[in-house]
Amino acid sequence: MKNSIPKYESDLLRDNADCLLLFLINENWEAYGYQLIKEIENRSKGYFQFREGTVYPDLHQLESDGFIQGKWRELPNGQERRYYTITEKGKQALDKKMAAWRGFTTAVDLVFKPT
Amino acid sequence: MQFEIRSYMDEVRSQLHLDPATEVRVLRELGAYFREKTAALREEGLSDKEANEIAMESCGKPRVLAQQIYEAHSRGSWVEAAMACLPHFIMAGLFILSLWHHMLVVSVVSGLIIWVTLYGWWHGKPSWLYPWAGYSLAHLVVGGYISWPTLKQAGSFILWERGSLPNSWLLLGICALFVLSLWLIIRTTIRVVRRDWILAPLMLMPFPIIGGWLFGIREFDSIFGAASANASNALNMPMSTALVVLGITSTAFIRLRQRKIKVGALAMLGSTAFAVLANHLGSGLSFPVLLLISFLLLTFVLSPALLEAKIGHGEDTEQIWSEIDWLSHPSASHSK
Repeated sequence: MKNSIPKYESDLLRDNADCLLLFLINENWEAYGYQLIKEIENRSKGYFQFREGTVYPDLHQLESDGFIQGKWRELPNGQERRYYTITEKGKQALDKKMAAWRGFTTAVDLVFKPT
Repeated sequence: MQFEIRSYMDEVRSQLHLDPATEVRVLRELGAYFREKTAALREEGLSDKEANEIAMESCGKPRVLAQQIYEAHSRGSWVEAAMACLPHFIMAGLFILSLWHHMLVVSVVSGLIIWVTLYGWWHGKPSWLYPWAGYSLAHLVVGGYISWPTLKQAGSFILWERGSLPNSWLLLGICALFVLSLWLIIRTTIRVVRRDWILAPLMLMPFPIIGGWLFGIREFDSIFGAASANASNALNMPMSTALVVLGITSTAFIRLRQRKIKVGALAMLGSTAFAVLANHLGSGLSFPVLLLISFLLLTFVLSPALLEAKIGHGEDTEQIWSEIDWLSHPSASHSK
């Protein structure tokens, strides 16, 4: 993650990294680690710069928990990549996490709203 | 220019402590990432050295990365936890029901334990296997204990010319059994330590308990006899309690994520199990004796770590690197 992000924001991001990864894997139907890192950076316009040292353990954790499933695929140039797809359990977890996040941010916005 | 990346991945691997199949998967994925990232950086105009450095820096310290990946994989399911505690509970059942001196029951249980051990050993060596493997090896200890009087008799005759020499074929067989048992226990322990040293104390944990029990019954020549059973039934309850504690230890080990906590659980619960038995062997335990037991158990739990530091980690390094072909020849060009 970006070094300049203050601790509060980096804690927020770390706690929600699995949700971001699940969302992107679900949206892309399948995705690999390096692609996810680039996509998070592009979508956040460079705000989130995930380190590979964060993403790969998170992907392995999600796979261990049964939220995603990895599969090796050989590319036309002979190289190989491990692609991840979301499982039904992962979809349910994502729905719950997104609902919780939306509820939380809505509540925070309401509190922050000037009276 | 893949030397730096290969040595980075070597360091990750030395700290992973996962089963060989998972290690290969982790390293293949990491290798694929390095290949792609360094290629992208070179396309941006960076040199090989700069590209490698940036790619490695993005992954952080290899020890930390390996630890995080280990923790992602180290927690077993409840089914695995149940499998790990099952041999302890079966053995506890033998003692609580006073069945350990019934030859037929013991034979069936022994056969089951050895069969499950061999099945797990040939099917990827999952973490639940190691308590089963411990009881399988403990057969050799019991065998050695039963044949000890014959060896003692032979030793007494040879050294002091007391008594008579046992049958030479029997003596030869017992000597061969001793050597084979020792070789099998050492060889298995080394292989387990190469995979991950904390699995060795998990496997060997029944040894001090069974050793303590054998010391307690002392009726080695009639271990399955009624006289021995009656004399040592007093140990059934503490033995079953100690084995249930070992079962709980194995369950905790499988379900915990962090290595340090796993080691702590092994040391603390293992000491408790042995203390339960030792309390009945002696006439109650004083605080210094309890401390001594805890220290000895801690040494027992941690000693495989020293062995791993000496013999290294992983069973077949080249086999793993051959799976990641572009790193199997670190001097090869990146354009491969």
